[in-house]
Amino acid sequence: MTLLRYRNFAVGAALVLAGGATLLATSSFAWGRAPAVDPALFPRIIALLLITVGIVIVVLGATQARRGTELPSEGGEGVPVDIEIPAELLADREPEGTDAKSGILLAVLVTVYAIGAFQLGFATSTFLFLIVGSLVLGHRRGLRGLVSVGIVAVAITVAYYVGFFVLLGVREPTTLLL
Amino acid sequence: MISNSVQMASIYTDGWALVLNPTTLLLILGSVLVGMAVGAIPGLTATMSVAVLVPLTFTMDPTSAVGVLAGVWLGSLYGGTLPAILINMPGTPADLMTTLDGYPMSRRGEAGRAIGIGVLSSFFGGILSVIVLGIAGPALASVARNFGSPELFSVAVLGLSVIAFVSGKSMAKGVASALIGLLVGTIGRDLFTGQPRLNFDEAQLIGGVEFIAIVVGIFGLSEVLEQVYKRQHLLKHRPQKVRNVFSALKDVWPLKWVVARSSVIGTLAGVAPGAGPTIASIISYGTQKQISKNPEKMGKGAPEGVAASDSANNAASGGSLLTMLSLGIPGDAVTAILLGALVVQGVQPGPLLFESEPELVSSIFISLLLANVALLVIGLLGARYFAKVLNVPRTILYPTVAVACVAGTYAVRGSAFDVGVMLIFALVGFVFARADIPKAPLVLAVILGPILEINLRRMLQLSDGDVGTTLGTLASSPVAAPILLVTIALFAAPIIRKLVSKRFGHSSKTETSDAVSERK
Repeated sequence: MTLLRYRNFAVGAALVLAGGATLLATSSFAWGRAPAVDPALFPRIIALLLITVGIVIVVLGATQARRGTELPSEGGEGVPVDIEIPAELLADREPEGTDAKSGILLAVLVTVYAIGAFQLGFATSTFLFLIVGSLVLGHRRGLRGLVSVGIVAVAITVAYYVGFFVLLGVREPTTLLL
Repeated sequence: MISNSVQMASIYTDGWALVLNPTTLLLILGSVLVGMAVGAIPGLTATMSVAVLVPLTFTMDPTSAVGVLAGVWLGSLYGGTLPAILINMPGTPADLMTTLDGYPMSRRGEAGRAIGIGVLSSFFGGILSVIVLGIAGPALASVARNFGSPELFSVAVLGLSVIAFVSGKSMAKGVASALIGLLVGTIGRDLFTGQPRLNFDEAQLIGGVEFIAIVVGIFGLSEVLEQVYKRQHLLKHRPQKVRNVFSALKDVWPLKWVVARSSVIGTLAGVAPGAGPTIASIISYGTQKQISKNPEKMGKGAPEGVAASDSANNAASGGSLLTMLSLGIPGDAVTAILLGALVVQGVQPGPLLFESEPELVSSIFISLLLANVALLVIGLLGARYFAKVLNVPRTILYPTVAVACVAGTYAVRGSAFDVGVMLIFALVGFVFARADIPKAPLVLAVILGPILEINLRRMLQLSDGDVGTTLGTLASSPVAAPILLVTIALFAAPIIRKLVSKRFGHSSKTETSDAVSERK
């Protein structure tokens, strides 16, 4: 089974599960009430539609896979019009690939940063995050690279701190450090 | 009749007092600059720049807030032209068509000329769309003032259906995204009874999920993760030097009809729900290629290609604001974000806004006008400096944007819980991208969901819960009925087309094999 078919099965299954979970979550509301006073009416309609669409996606995915007419991946926000880009222009573009490791590391770092910003201190966490984040993404690690990223991290941290908490008057979270 | 005319005229004049102050003017100028800088970086979309900067507008008055967001939006639409021309990478999806002719022009040393044509075309496209918005907006609002529940329900259904239909290549996944957005919109207190639902006993969810947290997560942080996943942080660019931008001033006059036509196409495409600058520029480019006197030159460095694309994508901005301001129904992700930002400011877009706050509506038109003027001036004078933005290391840029997402989300309500919501929706956005599920329908559905639900339940309430009577009410409305028919046709047409082509394909196969057997 191709990856695409697995993906469509996963998407369809997730939608069916989401629909089922919604029906379960609204089960505490009585059925058959007058629509105007039934808070569960709209969520239940959506839940049933989710289950239906989930099944449709699974079936469509399986049918397309059997016929070999699966659509190529295009990132979700693709324009639904086929555009022919001349080959010589395509050749000038950088080769594509993926870096899941850096993506996951950055996601984990952002989460740790978000926790640190509201427990440890916004400025401290921002400064550390900018340095570690840049290094994780491949910034130069020599002395010069570290100094440059350190200076930039200080400048950006100060800019954010002054911008949000001084100029915009956002309430500063109560933390151990600054 | 005279007092009506005076009232109408005041909608174009009342706003000057609100806009013409140094703070607002500086904010508009600054926001266009920021938008251009952000748009010039491939991967940082116009939607993302508006989403990440929305929290910064909450301490501003509504006029300044709209001016800033419009400036960022228009600036980033233009800014995306720079990498499209200089390094063959569109800064925003709306600049995809600009690469086809802009980059070849750049390769033969005409980067400045291409950028100049892009700036001027964007300016004229933007101005035309603001004029259309100014004329059609009040007219549409006066019609919509008489809309009742059936009409509002049907327009919301159409808007959601169109965006689900046009986003991405899979209609089913577009619908799924919209349904998830509708579900998210039901979290919190029920609008009729006040009972909490789907909030999992979490007090912070009683008021619903914070819309800005959703938007920043899905269009902001998620995009950063997407860029890193696609190794964009490793790319290094050495764009050509930008010279002779002003030489385009004499180049645009021969292209005046291209710009005019593309501006009209862009404005109309922007009005259509779900279509936005990207689709506007594609339709415009395609149309220009059809009617060009030299179609063989398009795609090889023809200035008309750059003009057609850039005027349309900027013109779409005014068009898409039309339904948002006049009906209170956004047509795409950016206008959904703008609507959310206005609601947080205590301003409810819709037909009543034109009556209750004409000076605010007027100030919105004027802000857009001034943002386009700022775009022209900064675009022509600053093009070669903005090109240097491409040299900013993304290893520093992406973490900086991530900080903006976290801090900006926190700034909305001073709530760390919202930051958690933002992180969750960043994950949702990333998963959507991997699963080829479009994100725009989800965001629109969060906004449109309450409108759909309120009006549906009102209709059911008025018909004592009788579904048949409710359907009859919809069918008998001269506005709702045709709109719902269009919605049904939207979904039915591709299915019918597939069935017909299967049948004809089967028939012709049968005829061919019959003919072959007869010959034998």
